[in-house]
Amino acid sequence: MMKKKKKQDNVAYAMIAPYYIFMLVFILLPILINIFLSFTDYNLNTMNFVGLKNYTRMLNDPILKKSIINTLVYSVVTLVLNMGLGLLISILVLRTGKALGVIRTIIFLPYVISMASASMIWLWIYEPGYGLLNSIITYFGGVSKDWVYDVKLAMGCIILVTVWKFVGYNMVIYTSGIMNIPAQLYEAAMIDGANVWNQFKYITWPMLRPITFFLMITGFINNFNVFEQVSILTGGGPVNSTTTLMHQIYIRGFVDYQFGYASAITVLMMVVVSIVTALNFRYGSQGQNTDLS
Amino acid sequence: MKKLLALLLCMSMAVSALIGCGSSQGSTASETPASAETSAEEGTASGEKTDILVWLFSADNMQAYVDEGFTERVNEAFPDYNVTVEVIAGTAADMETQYNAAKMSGQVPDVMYVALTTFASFGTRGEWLTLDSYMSDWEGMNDVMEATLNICKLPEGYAGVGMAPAPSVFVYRADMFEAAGLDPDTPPTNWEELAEYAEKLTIKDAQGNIVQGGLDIPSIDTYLNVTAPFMRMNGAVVIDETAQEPLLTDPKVIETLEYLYGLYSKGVSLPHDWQKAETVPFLNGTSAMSFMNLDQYVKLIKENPEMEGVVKIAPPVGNEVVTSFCGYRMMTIPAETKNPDAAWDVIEFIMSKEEMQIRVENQGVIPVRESLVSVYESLNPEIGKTVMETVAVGKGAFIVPWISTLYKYYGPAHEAIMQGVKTPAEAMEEAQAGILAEIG
Repeated sequence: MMKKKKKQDNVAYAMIAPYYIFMLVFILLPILINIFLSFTDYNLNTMNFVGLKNYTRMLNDPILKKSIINTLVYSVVTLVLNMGLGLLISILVLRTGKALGVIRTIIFLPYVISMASASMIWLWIYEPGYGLLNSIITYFGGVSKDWVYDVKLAMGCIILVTVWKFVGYNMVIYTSGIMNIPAQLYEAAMIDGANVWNQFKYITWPMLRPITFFLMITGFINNFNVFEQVSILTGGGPVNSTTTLMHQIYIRGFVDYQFGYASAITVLMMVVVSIVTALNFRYGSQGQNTDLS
Repeated sequence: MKKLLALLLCMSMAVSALIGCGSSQGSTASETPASAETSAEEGTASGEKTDILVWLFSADNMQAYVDEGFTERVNEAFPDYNVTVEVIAGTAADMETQYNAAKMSGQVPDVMYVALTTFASFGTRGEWLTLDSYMSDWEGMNDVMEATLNICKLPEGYAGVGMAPAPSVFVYRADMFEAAGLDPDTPPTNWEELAEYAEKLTIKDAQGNIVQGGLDIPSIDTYLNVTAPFMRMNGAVVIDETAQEPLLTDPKVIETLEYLYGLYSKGVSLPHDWQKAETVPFLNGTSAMSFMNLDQYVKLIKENPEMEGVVKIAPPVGNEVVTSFCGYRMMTIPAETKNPDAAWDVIEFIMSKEEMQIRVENQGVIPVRESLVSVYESLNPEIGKTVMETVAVGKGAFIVPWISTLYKYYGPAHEAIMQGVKTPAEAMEEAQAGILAEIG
């Protein structure tokens, strides 16, 4: 009996082995190597153990500090806009009835193109000389803007590109969530005299909390990893106003060849994302099991 | 039995996942340089011929050069070698990425064609073999231009051979000159004229929006492609390569930036990033004068034949000194090569007069041999003389090991000046301090 059980266990272990081997080799091992490298001055040619030097250097790196602030601003603003607009559009789209499919497709379309392509499109839209935005502004007699070349506008330009690309995804997820809410809940609320706002406040929003939680976690992690649009649209400028943590990791690693320092920044980023995710799990998931009975 | 089968299936999946992800066996040589190198090394072990892997990148029509028989010629010239040539698609930066990947997997090529910036930044890290012992006996030393030979020197000695200059030329639109009442045959030659022409050529609408810029002044110039030549024109050293010291607070540097910002703030240029060709106003037809790579000029004329004679190349501009930016493409031997002698033989072949003449005639590459200058000029009667003049006074990237630190601090400082956030003196003091703090 025991022998048979052990045999069954071995088969089960073997069946899940491919996944765990893959995870070990391609996720866990690189993380461990990265942590190890963060204590060295590896530059492709030489590697010496430097202790905590890379970490202490981070404390005195003004560009890194700027990149942390930029990443946080970008992440929070983008997250709020993506989720807020996604929810708003999904509600509006559901109310339009017949045009639902068409509108949803149009808004979702940017999500299917790559961020690099989206950034190139927007580079043309933002172009100060012949770009679409300035062409419209000057056509109506306005004063053109420098967009991505303006230190005050550059971050907003990057946020806009991300929102344009991802709002459709948020909309689709929210739409599916709203469509799964039992119709009888709204009918009962209407019988009880609840207006549209109260229906949203007491039925829609609580029922969407698990989805909101999911979008918040994935959105935050995605936003924290922002790179392509920064690299293509602004290169982190002007005056480092759009440089982000991921952009700094790339620059320090693959431009400066300071892989040790870049690894230390990666560890910092991993810690921050883990903390925020843990906080989200701790506080964001409350009410997931909303009992409306 | 079923369980045994399931077990075997799972094991084979795990093994194949690992093998499939980790091996390049079975790949063809054209797929990736790394896989090509793997094949080459296997050849070395099993065959009698010495395998040599040459990496070129796709600048200077190198793909066409290879397609037109270079590989066959070099293999014919050296029957004992098996020379494999890979043309890496993309830019010099892509080549760097490929090289880093190859190095990390312990598989570097034997010969590499690199841009000057790569040569300088990698060379100061000790990536290239010192070639003094080879070059002292090389016949090319008597024919290759002195400026070209000088640019190949690192503190340890010659670390490469300049194969093709890549000058930045001063270009202008003859039609816009005529429309502004300027003589298209007398372009500006000094800073004073440049400023005067730039203002005359600028067109703005009623709201003050720039419709046509007079002169391209990049608002983003992280790599000093345009700014460094201006600084040099003003007599600034910018970087003391011997003492390995940045000199950004030199009054000549500040004066140059004041001149450029003075023009920029008058609205003679649309903002742009010089590194991103799609943003350069001149290439978009919204500017009258610019500094651009010769490659870009050639491409512009090729794609817009009607622009021939309209877009003109002017001799280099000067202030205290007449100069321009001149990059180079170099042949190098990575220090990790197992076959340095054979690698040098291949470089010697590529640099031979016969091969260079093929590139001059068929690919339009600028020669570095004095004996081929007349050939290039006769093949390019419109621009040949001016291009060679630019090459003669051109200077390339700074050769210091901390070049990326310079860019890291200069880039934002330049942007702060052009945004009007800081004065040139403030920005350069901050950049200088940042660089010194980092390089020690």
